[in-house]
Amino acid sequence: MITPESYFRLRPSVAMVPMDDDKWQFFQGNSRRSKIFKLAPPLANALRLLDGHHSLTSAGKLSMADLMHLTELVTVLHRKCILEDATVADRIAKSPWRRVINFLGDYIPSLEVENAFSRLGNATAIVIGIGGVGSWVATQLCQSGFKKFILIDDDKVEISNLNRSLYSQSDIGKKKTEALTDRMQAINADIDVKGISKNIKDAIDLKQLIASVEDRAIVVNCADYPSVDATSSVVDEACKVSAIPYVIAGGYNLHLSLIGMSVLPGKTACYHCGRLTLEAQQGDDLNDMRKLARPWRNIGNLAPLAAITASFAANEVIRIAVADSRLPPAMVNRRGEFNFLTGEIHFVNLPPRSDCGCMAV
Amino acid sequence: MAVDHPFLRDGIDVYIRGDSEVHFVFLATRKRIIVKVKPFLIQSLAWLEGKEGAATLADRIALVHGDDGRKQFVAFLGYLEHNGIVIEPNWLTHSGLSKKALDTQQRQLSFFLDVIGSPAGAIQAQKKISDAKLVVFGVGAVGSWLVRQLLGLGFRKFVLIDGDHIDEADIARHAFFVASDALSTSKKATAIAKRIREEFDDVEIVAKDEPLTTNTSLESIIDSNTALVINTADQPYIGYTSVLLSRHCVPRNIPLLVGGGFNAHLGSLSELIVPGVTPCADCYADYFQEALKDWQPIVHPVSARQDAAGGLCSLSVFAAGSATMKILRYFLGQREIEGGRGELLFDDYHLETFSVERNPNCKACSVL
Repeated sequence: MITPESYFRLRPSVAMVPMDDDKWQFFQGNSRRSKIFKLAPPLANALRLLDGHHSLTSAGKLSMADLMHLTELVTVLHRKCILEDATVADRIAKSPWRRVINFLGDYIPSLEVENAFSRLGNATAIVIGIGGVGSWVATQLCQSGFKKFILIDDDKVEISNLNRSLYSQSDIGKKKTEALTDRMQAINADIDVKGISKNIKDAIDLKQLIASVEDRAIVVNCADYPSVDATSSVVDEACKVSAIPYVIAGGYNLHLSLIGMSVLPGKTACYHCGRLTLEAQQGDDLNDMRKLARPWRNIGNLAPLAAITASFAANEVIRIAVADSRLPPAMVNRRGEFNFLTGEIHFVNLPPRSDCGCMAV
Repeated sequence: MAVDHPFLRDGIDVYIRGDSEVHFVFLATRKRIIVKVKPFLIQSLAWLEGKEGAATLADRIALVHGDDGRKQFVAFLGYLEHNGIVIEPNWLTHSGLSKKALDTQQRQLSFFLDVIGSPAGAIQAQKKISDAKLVVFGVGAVGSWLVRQLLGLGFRKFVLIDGDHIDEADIARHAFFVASDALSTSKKATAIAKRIREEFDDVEIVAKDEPLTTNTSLESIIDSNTALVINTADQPYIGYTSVLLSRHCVPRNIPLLVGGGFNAHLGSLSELIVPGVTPCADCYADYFQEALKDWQPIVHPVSARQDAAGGLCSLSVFAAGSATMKILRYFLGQREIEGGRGELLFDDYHLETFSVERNPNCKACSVL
């Protein structure tokens, strides 16, 4: 409840810019979004005083603004993430996670943002495949405030992994699950990591595993063996029964830098909806042709491609875990591709399909 | 030229239409080469596994299709080699790269081969990377992830300059720190250099625990062996430090990468300044001074704002990743380098980009 005795301040990452005709632009620096309001001069002057040390009453008096109007305006601007509660801001400034919380503060009002952030810590991130992309995803989530992880991979660290994963020389020969657990716990000793060093071959295994998670689970598929398609199909099957959200981190085996998609089973297009649309599109000029069969191949990859793909997957897991309609996942019903040569992102829309049978339509 | 044991390399898909049209699809770049050839040449593609000699294969062709067939096959092979479709299977054996570099970088060398199209070019690019000395100002969030990715690419020689202490909040966004580092008395540059030496072989790292200021002796830090300077030093702000570095680097023909990741540019694509080719930091500063002349925020009511900045580790990694890509493209010999800026908008991941031209009257770079 915002009252005349509340203390608010203009969020430090927001720029307040005068425009013509009593209009003001509020530019949120973290997300580069702008909101424009037309304000009577006394109200604008009152906002310019909101440094966290003036109550609304005091700011209203000094600027001769109507207190009821000012309280209403502050309520709206707080909801729009332009102003923040001074007590909350003080608390956030003392948190080691202040950067993350302040970032979320561009989307979620200050009086709710601490709760929103704590939802990251209460979710369980299940990362399947912790190689080139997965090691980056898990580490970034660990550095974003996630505290519960299940890491699944049956591989050991090999020297050929070092060019693109987050493992180092001293990890060679260790199980990936152990090496990454050690690394993540060195970053944050408070996290709970369960490493499962086996290959999830079918959905039954994964279903059982998900069922054993008591918290909200979010699955990220970073496994590319035998192919991203094959592993995504397994993930989809395991997740759809209990409507567990999943993010396909994309990959690099035959698809160099894919982004997404994110799936909220039953609500948004699933992996198979996407596959059907992509198959129909890819068919355009190659489907009447024979493909020369080639055995297993060594396809190129490098660090920044893995890192960029992983950064989007981490963004998406954060957005899903925040569970707030003001910051929804951005990769639902579409997939993106980052082009190494041009630095451009190209998106393809993948709507829910009635012929898929996943009930998202 | 003529390869001894022709090998249809891994990064190419082959599609065949009818009996005489082949599409070679380059997986890394999506480039496609379409050729129309005789059916027997298409059939011969399945033989190009790097196991049999070119002469043996040509003899086999000649048995059925005569000398004319042999000539056509040899010409076809030459064409495939010229376009980087067919290579020697053991193209890395005589590369001169160390065994460790080969073992570590095999997937990357495949990528280079895809992008550059020739084995010699791919090997040369990797060597250039391992020999290059990079001077990095600022190793905070974006700077550290940049260095981490450059190490992944095989860069080994760094000078790291940063005057900051390690703060507890850094752990949540940094590439190298672990929780116990917040208790350490080491400064960032020294702490990172130590960790890199522990985790990577064959590195040459110099750490300088000092901020970049007008008193910094750039002449001694950026010596003539410097291949590239990277700036992520955002104190007092990035535009200021970039102009300082650009005025030093541009006349000496040293490229400068200006990283993103700071206030209001969390998902910036970064700018590569190539002297005489792209705008320099002064060109950018002049451009934005003009472009933003009507955009004047009020003095912010909150005066101490540094602890209130927002950021996500994943955005730092993205900004570092796109900067790393720019650096790599430069090292791979990309000629066309456009000036401009790009920002990833978090709402929908739209990349907002626009180009900036060199300022013909720039005091700093117009003489080049």
